[in-house]
Amino acid sequence: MAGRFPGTLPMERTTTVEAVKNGIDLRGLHTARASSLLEEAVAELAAANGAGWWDGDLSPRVERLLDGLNRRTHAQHRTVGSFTLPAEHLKEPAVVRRALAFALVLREMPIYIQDGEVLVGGRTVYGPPREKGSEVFPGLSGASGIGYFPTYTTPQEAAAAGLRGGAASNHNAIGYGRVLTLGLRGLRELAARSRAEIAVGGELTPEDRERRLAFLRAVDVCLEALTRLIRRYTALARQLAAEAPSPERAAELSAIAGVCERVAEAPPATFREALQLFLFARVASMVESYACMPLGRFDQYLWPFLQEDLSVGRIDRHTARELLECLFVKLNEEIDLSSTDDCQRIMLSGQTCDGEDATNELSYLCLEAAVRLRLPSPKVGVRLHRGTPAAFFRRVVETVKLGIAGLPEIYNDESVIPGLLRFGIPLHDARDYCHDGCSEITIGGKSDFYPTWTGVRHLRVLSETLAEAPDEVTFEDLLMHYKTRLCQVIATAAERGNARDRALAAISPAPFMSATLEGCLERGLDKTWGGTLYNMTGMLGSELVNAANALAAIRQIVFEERAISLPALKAALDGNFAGIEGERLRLRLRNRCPKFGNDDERVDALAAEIAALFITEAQSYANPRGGRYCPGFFDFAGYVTAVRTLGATPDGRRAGESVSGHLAPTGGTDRNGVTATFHSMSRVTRLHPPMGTMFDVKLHPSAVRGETGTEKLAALIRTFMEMDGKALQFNVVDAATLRAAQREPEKYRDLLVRVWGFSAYFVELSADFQEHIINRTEHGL
Amino acid sequence: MERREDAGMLRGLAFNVQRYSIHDGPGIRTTVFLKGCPLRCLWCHNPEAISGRIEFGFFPDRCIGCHECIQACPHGVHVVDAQGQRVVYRERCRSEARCVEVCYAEALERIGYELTVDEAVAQVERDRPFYEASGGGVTISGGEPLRQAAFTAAFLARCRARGLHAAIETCGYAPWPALATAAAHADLVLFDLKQMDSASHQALTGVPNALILDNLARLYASPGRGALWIRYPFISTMNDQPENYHAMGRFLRALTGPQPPVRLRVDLLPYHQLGQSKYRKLGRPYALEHLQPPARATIEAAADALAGYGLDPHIGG
Repeated sequence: MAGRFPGTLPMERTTTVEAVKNGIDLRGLHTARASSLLEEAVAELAAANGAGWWDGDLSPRVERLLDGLNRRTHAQHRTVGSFTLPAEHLKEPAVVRRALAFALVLREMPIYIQDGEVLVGGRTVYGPPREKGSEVFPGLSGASGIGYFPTYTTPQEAAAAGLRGGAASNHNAIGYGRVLTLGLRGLRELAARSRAEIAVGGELTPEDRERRLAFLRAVDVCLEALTRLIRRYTALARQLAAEAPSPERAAELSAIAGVCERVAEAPPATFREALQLFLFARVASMVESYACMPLGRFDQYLWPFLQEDLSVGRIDRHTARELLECLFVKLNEEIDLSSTDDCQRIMLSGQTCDGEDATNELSYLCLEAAVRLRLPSPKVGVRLHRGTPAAFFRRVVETVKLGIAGLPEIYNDESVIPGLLRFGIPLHDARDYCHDGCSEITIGGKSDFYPTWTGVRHLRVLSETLAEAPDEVTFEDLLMHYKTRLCQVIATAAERGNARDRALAAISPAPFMSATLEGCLERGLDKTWGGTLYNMTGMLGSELVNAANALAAIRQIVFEERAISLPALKAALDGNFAGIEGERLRLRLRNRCPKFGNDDERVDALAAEIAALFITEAQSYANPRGGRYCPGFFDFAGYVTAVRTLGATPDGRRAGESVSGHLAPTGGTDRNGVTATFHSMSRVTRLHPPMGTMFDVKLHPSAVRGETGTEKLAALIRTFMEMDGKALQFNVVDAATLRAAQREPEKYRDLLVRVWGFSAYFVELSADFQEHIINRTEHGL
Repeated sequence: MERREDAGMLRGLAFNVQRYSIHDGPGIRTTVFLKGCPLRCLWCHNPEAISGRIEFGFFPDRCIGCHECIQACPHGVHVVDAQGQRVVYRERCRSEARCVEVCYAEALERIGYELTVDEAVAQVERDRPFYEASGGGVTISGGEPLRQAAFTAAFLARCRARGLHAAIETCGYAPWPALATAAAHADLVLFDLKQMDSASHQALTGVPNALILDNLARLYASPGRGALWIRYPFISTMNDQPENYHAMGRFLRALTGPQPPVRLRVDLLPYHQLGQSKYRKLGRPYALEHLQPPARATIEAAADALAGYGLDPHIGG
């Protein structure tokens, strides 16, 4: 088995943010996964399938690139940006200034080609460090804000807008497909045609015409700057070829120069050229948007190039996979810089815009490369639907079994697409969705998505409702107060989001990204001005589960059992459940009242009722770009951080304690197994929040072992899909999780250990037996 | 019509209804565990299933010291002695579970609750989509479900009538009519076979094995019965000896004949120590403190031997 999974990096696949999301410390997880648990799964699958589909050693080239990545040889080229825009540029409109500043960075940015590379290009200019003490590269710490953009706005402008010039609107999949189809020259030609039309168009006011012409000029500046950057790479490759130590490397460098020369302006003609232009476009998009830029439906926009190469015999499958692996290695060059999830997500498979199955050879190759490399990026999502080929479905299940931290994320077309339809996106484009860099839903290359701007923290809303509620109320009154307040909070959130939306449009347009999005060039409108087809603003619904739990507990304890009056409950909350009686009350609220995630109608119905109102109400708000608010059930680290300042709550939560993320049951309160949790979740997902939600499932290795384990896992996924689940991610429980459960048993009461005819909750086992299980887990119990 | 309703109202004593059960028959299942068992297997990993009464488990770590249980129990089960030590007199317990009711900290856990056949069926119905996607269904287990034979038969019959795949797991130690009736309503019988030598069987489980073997033979020969899987808990030093599994092989081959239409499945279930902590919460001693799980090679040798008798051995459930 040795040698099948070489190239393990001393890095963590799971980033800090995800660790926070999971509520556990996952540091060291990646390396832990490389141990016997993975080896066992690999051995088992290999035994079942003959040679594993991920089989074979990595090529010497990929090994070499991995070695360079490990040693962070690319880091030596990094610099801290401090460029000044020439004074005469400051007379231009903001959108042109932004483009000129972008061009300045691309012009001044150091470039590099490393040993063994066949695909080249990377960002090398970053912001100044925010923290000292790390040695990522001299002067820049691992936790630094990695974005850098030259100042192009005056302090007065920034103050008026309430926003920094260059503030990014990221989390949006740029139109890589359009870039690859038209090439940079094609995009510039499209912009030029649009300029010509707008210049003579009679419908527009002079101001509007000027604005659009300025945008199109800005686009041209950006695209030309990218062409120039690529030409610098052409020149560097030629120069290095002349100095190359071997004729082989000289030939390779000449080939790189040739590829760069062609894609500097023309659309790519081969798979390799397409990958190369993709990489350059990605560099440009990172310069403009800094971070959290998803990669969209990677296997769809690149497939025509690979398909052509394969059909004419220009490339074979093996070489294609190696190229892909070279690209994936490149996508990890900034992993060491970011203290958060870098959001480089690719989405595979699913349906075409016409509703055909979209799975192709590249879908398989991407999954293979991800499994072979096991690098933090790109993170891989797969879209499944009723027509997903059985072979691909099986690959997905087998990948889950390998237990590589949440690889892949599974999206359910059968639920996501109806959600988008209900939001008003036409079927053709709804079928083209991808994720936004986290787990929210967006339409790559056709939409603009401001995902994280506004949110409603349901438990806080409930806390405020309780504080203001009169002492003498019925439960129905209380629920009505809650709903009224929820609507007010949504309105305020939308106002706040729209103010920021307008500020972004005023001083921080994104002309490069806009050039790739459908509609912007045609209309002459930046994406921040509503130029593209679908303009969503996300509204995050967090703490829904805790709010429903709290309401259910109030109903039972105060109104049904009449064990305590509402004022007395409020006093106990204010006192953070002090004293033995307070603790008894807390435990009663927590342990004796229904909790979401157990298929318990008493609380699930409340969650659905609140969720339905939230979804309807949020969608009713328009944003300034001609779009609407797009609700979903997500949370970021807020379920740990934002609630630190929230007092005790009637779900039995002490002041400051964390809450559940997304639609997950509150830690340790789901005790009926994963199927029951699916039922609860589906009460909310059937309401079709258009932005979706993510569902995390922890499975013990014994649950997925063997061919029957594969079949049962497949059945679990299929049932999830039938139950209208949106997105699903598995964690095959490993030693690190069990260690976390030992430390915080309260959060892991749901963790079942299963063997024949027996089941026990892990946290009920005594310490010595927990050790025993941990040791066995490593061996696949 | 009236009789059907009566059967639905039959009450059973269960200790767990476990959803997403994946080792008790094919597919994703829900397993209803009933309380009460006629056997006393030394290695029992569900000790909370042995008694046919409602009991309580105690987790001292979770106790917040509110002493409400002391107030709640009129029989003096929970006591703080003169030295301030928390003492539990289980023998005084009358299964009223009043202590559990007031223990919000869940330091005291109720073991055993009554439910009707209809309630049990309604619970297992919840996961029908999972059974349909996985070829799963429901399993009734224990304890020994045939200790509550009428409940078990009615439950199996109702599940099957609703198109759910219905399985029973039994130790086989029950009057033949009880087994025959339940098996007639089951799509699958999981039948435990532990030790072929009757004296050893008595020493290990508290009862001789003649009734069990006789029941198995009659069940195998029953016309129109459902599928049958033998479950062989493979316990180091207790029943892992070659003479035992060869005897088992000979016995089963005698049932099946040399050319059975379907090879009889035998699940070898390796001993594990996980039940031990359950004894602690029940305040009971565990007899096999130092017994180790069997070595892989030992259990594989047994599987190979059983295969030699024309059987279909599977390691693990």
